[in-house]
Amino acid sequence: MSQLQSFLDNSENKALDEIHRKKIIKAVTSYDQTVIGMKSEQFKDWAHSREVAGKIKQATLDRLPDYLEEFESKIQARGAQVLWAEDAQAARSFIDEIIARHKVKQVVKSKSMTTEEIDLNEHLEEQDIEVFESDLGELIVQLAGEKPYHIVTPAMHKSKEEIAELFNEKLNSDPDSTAEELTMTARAFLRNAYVTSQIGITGANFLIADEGAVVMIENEGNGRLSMACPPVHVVVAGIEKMLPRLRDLPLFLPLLSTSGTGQEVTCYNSIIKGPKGEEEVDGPEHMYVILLDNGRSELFQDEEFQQALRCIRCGACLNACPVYRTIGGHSYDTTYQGPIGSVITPHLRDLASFGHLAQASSLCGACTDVCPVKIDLHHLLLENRWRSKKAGLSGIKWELILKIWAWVFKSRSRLNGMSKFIQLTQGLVRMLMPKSLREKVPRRAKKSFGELWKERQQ
Amino acid sequence: MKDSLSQSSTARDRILIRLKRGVPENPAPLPSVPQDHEHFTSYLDVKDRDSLLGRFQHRFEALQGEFFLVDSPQEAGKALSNLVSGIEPNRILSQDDSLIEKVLKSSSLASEKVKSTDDLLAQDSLSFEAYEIGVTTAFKLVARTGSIVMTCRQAAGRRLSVLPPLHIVIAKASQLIPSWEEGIESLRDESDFSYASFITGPSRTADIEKILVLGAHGPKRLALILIKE
Repeated sequence: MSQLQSFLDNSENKALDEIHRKKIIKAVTSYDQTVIGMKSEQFKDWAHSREVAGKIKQATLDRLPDYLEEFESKIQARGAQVLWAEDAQAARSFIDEIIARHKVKQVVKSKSMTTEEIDLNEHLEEQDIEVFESDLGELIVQLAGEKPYHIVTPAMHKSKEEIAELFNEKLNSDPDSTAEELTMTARAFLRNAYVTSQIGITGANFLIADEGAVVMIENEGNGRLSMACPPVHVVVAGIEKMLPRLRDLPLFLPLLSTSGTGQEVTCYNSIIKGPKGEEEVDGPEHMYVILLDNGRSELFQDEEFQQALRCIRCGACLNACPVYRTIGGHSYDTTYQGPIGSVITPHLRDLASFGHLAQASSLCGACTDVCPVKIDLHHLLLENRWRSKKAGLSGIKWELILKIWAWVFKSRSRLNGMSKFIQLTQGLVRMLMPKSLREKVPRRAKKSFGELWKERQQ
Repeated sequence: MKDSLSQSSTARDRILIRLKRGVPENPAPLPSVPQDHEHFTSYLDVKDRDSLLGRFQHRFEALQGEFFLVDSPQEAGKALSNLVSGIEPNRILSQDDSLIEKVLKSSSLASEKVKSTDDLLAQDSLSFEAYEIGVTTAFKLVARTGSIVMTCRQAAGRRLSVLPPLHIVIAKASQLIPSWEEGIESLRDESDFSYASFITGPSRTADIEKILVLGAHGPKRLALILIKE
């Protein structure tokens, strides 16, 4: 089945699934209330702060090659190794080599969208390497054999009861567990994994050029454990994660956590500048930072779309989007769902398979309104529609319909003619319609507005 | 890694070439460093310790941090005794530090030999899993958000402050600073660390139906004994 057809089928199923709808509305309503409250509680002027953040991010992109080189030399000076991966395949082979080099049998991971992007779990499991997803939401979708539903809250689509059932089946917990008991089950299940894994793989929320640092934010502590316990720490980071200065963090950290979860700041904000230092008691002996391109440098050269690389992956546009709220995260079948996913996926993957996502938008602009770095998301969606059309991907039928429509609407007399034509033929056409449709389609009025207007003028 | 290194360096060149093609000829200037007072309602420009302390305690307790304000290391010892009561002394691990030592001496643990990270190092076995409580100092305390700033130096490594279920921090009121801005600035001065963290409350998650649960993977409880002197 084509990507488009399965998108249409899945969307329809989800849109009509009332239980699904209830769960999502509950989650986004609670998100909305917290986020709106925190924006006004913490920020003097949210509009101004996101303006500044957008400008800093854009200025960073304007100098991205320089910052990447600065980051590389600074973090390497502290003993980390930087590896540049042009695509998913290259990133996976780097990880394969690291695994072979350190004789890894078991991996503990913290939540990272870049590792989703390169399908790392599937790749490692094929080689009989055991992978422990340690973020609670990620663990839930891993155990369920699913992909993350949302870039920030991966298990947003699962009710407590469903998770209790899943944990009962996979982890032998009480089928009537509360949220707290389920969390404690996950804690106990993973406790050992941190200590016995030979490698911890994490993502990055920011890369800092001037200090050569990786910044990671989280609430659970699984990220910290993943880079404190195993002897090897691997970071997989998109090249666009850059910020120029450590001193940009006091704005960007609250901005990200407020947009992401409505928190003033998240529980843990970690700054990592390398593997264990000589004088230090513990920490990984080796650290690798894989800088992932995977289509980003192509997007970067596109004048219209470069701004999409400002994204800090807060997930706000997903939560705000009426389409995401209706069809849910899995229907997109992409690593990045919602408006930002529909903007970048056709470019990071291919336009022919994912161009249709831009049509899944009402162009209401809710995504643009909430973006903390002011990406003009809904205009980019419109631009993607135009790109699909230019690439001849709209289909002959649709093109033909539009051509006829344009031809008719461009002339008053043709439009009047069409109107008359419908009036004359509607009796016959209606007879051919199935009854259910006939009841829905209204009859053309006896006289058009134009005709009525003319009569009045006389 | 030889092969991959050469692969990485070819990839590096190609990525940078592509990026350079997308860089504008005359980029807009980089905006100046964002200032706290420009962005945050809770910016504190007061330097007096009482208001910093009030704000810190308010935020720290709102996030279920356990806060103990004491006048002296002796009193801190009493607070510590209460926190560790019922726990076997051999399940407590502390950072090797003179302030902590002073506090320990005034506590119920005075006659016990509480292990420090240095002892573990000497034995060359850093098995942290057996410990219920980790005791550390702090680098700074950020009043605006009730956060404890820690580098791997103050925590004596990366694990002591995250692996044990109860993390006890012993700090002085003089370490209070108003903002993250100052926290970051002081980290820049203190360049010699591989890891630093801003810790704001005990570990938490809301991944199940947005229900808040404390103690996801990090410490379930976070306690701060703050010495006023």
